[in-house]
Amino acid sequence: MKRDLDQPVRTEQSGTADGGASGAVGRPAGHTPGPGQPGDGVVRGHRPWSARRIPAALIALVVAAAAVLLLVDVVRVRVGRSAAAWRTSLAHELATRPLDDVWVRIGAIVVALLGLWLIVLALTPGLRRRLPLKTSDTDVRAVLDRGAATLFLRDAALRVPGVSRATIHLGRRRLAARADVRFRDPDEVRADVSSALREQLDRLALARPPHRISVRARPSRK
Amino acid sequence: MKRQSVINRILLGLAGLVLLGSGLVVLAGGFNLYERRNLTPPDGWPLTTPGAVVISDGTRTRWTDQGWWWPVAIAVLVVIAVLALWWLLAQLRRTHPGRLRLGRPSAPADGVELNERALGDALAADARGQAGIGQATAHMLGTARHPEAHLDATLAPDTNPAEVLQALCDGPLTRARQSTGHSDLPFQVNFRTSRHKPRRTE
Repeated sequence: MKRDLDQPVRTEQSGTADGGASGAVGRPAGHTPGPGQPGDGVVRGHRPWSARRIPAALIALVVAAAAVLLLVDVVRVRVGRSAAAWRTSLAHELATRPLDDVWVRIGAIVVALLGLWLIVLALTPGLRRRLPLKTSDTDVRAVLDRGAATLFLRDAALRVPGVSRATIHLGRRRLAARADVRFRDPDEVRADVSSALREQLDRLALARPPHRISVRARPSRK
Repeated sequence: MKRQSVINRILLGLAGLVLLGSGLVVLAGGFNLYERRNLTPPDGWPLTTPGAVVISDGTRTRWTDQGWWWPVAIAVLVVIAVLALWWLLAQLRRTHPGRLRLGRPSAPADGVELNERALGDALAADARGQAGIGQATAHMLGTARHPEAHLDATLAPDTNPAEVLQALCDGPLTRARQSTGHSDLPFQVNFRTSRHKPRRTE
């Protein structure tokens, strides 16, 4: 066996996958603009921003529940009943535990991390599983599920002769592929897989295709 | 960005700032940072020594003997609870156009109306007829004046999403726009694909 076959071949190729061959959706050569689609340039798909409904609903629920609980207990005390046990013990703990108490520190760390997480949620787009596609119409927005894009790329890699198994990791900037090679020279297979992935990326027409494609090809065991 | 997204994000960010700030103040006091770093906190800054407590009995009962305290406390709690419930309900509510008026938006008000569900079903059925699309469901969001069409479509394996999207725009979307008169009806497509075994044949 050649030495090449015993070692995984690892290369990285840089360059945008967004080459000239990747037209905008619906702008194949010779396509005439249809009605309602002015022949303007490519609209770079916006990344969709989540409305953050679930975290907002959770925070709203917690705040509402706490306010109602406290309200009910305050009113109970006003009409002459005694305060609930949770309120007296909470007041007692808050009034007796010093700041260097371990539970106060743990609580403060949890509260600070929760706050940081909420700030991150507020500032980031979210919806990381939805990859925007290029469109030719500003009123049309399309996204491709990340899992679907991964499956399409995997199928493209598997169509290369000699590849018996392919795993794809599609990040936002990087596409990493690993191919098990059953026959043929891994170097050639790697080059073929790389160009097959490039072609498939063009076909997917992602608005922000990964800039780097790295392919590892290694001979499959047995 | 949508208005709801902006409101949610501002409120989440404010809640995050409050939590992060109070957590950091307690930690700074608990680890005695002010003395170790020779910092002098501003006058009235709370919780500066490790021996301090978060809410002392004195702080908690400072105003309880004042006549205004309990009515104000109860009113503030009611306001907080109502606002939080309103925010919660806003998350559960989605705006639907209800009925779409056909024809140009400036057409007379007694025109023909179309149920949003009818349009969604027609759009989905039309989309399912396109090559490369397995399943499709569509629904309308937005308001009656500014409706938006949303389509969830499952792509068959070995399809070209770019071409399918173009076919959707040329076919079902254009027909929906022409038949409703909303010539710039916004269209949002979510493409998925069904899980499938690796396949090598073209």
